[in-house]
Amino acid sequence: MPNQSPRYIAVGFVEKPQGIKGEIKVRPLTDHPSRFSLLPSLYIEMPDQSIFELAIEDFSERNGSVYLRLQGINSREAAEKLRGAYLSITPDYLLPLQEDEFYYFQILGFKVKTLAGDTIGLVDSVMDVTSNAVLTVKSSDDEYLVPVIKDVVKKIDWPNKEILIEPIAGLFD
Amino acid sequence: MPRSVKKGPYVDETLLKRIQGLNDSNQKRVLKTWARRSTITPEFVGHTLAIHNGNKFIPVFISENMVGHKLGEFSPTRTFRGHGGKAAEKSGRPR
Repeated sequence: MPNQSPRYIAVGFVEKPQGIKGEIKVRPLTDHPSRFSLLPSLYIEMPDQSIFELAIEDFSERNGSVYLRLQGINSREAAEKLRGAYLSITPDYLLPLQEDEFYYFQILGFKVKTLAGDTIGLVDSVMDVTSNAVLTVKSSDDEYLVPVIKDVVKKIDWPNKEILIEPIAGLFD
Repeated sequence: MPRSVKKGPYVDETLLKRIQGLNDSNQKRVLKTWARRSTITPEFVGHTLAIHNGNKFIPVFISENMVGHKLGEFSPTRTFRGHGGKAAEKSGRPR
């Protein structure tokens, strides 16, 4: 069962250094890339599992990518060392959600049941297919894809960690 | 080069007939389709189509702003496994 409240939540992935002054190109792993401008610092999760905190000095957004200057990273060589690292925040800095919204990581491991009470399986992963999210639900012997749409997902029962669905005809054929 | 305007958009006939059938009978059901090249027309809006991606059928709810696009655009064929199960700040809601 995945951890429901991870210590760090990734908001970006360092793709490569940019230029010679220590700027890094970041692939945003957040719905709101402009939020980098509001963050005072980021936790850098290195591929070797070490974690440290660096302040953000400069931010810009171009062509769907984010470019950052971090405190103490002043050369291309220093920026190169960050390649492959995750830029993370603590859960305190997560953006507030509206009433029926959820973060994908929050529902991993939830039990998916029909309104009739039949258990379908556990949420293994969440796919984003532009128009709607799709839950990959795994049971002991099969895998089902459940679209997160109002016609199907009727309720997310947070205390019991369950998702109640009403499968429309043809969904599990 | 874009498709000639004279021809109009390409829509898979069989799929369109099945959707018109659902519209006429006011039914809702998931329709499986391989017609990734088919353009989405206003008749499709509000239906959920399970679009084949070469491996499995991805259920996609068709909304108004998808009209004019091809079905295949909404059923990715390459598996992006995310970042090793890393918790990311991505959110969703029932559409």
